[in-house]
Amino acid sequence: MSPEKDVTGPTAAPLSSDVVVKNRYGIHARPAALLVKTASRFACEILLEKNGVQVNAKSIMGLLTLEGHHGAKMRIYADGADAAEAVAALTDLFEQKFFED
Amino acid sequence: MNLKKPLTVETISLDLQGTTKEEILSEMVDLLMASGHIRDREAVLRAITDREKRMSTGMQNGIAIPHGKTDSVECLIAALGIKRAGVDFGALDGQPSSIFVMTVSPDSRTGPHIQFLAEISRPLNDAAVRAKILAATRREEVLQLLVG
Repeated sequence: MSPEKDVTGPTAAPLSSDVVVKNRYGIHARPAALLVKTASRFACEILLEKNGVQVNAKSIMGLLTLEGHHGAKMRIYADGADAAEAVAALTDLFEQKFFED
Repeated sequence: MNLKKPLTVETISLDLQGTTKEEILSEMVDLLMASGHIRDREAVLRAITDREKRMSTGMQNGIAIPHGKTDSVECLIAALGIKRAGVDFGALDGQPSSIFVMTVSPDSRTGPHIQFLAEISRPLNDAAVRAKILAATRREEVLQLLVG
């Protein structure tokens, strides 16, 4: 699922995007840092969910607790004025395999 | 994964002496030697130092997770070190690092590292647990806080 692009602005509903961990080594320290750095560019609240567990995408230790192994299915949630841009940027990192492999 | 296996009382230090990143890394490799699973100390230190040069493993909230992969170990081994005064590790949030979790795993296997990171991150993600670890006076307390 790609992020909905037709809803923006401060009153927009939370957005989400389903993603899969595609890089071989999964979300170890470097991909987690990349996610945090990217998420931190946005003002909105961003959560990453796996198996019903949600963590703050701006917290690196939080991200590591998700055990994002190769093939893991996750969902990105963002809520705030720049949520659409945030979801698009984070989805792209998953698609680009965090620039690994 | 059972954290009790890679992390033991013998591989915990409550008072690291080093004051630079290099000194801390070397001191923690010495701590790992206590596991009895390291065949080549220099190969392990080199793997960790090389990894650190690519991107600092200083995370947020005073936690750093230096690690490396080398076939000089047969299984994942881990050490935990505390430096209450903190050391500049070039952390993601710019804060000094005071709790160090070092892991070394075999080059040929990828799974255990991610699993161990997840297990150790759960307690360390809790500010109250971090405060207790920093205040611990016995290594057994630290182990208990992490393995539950």
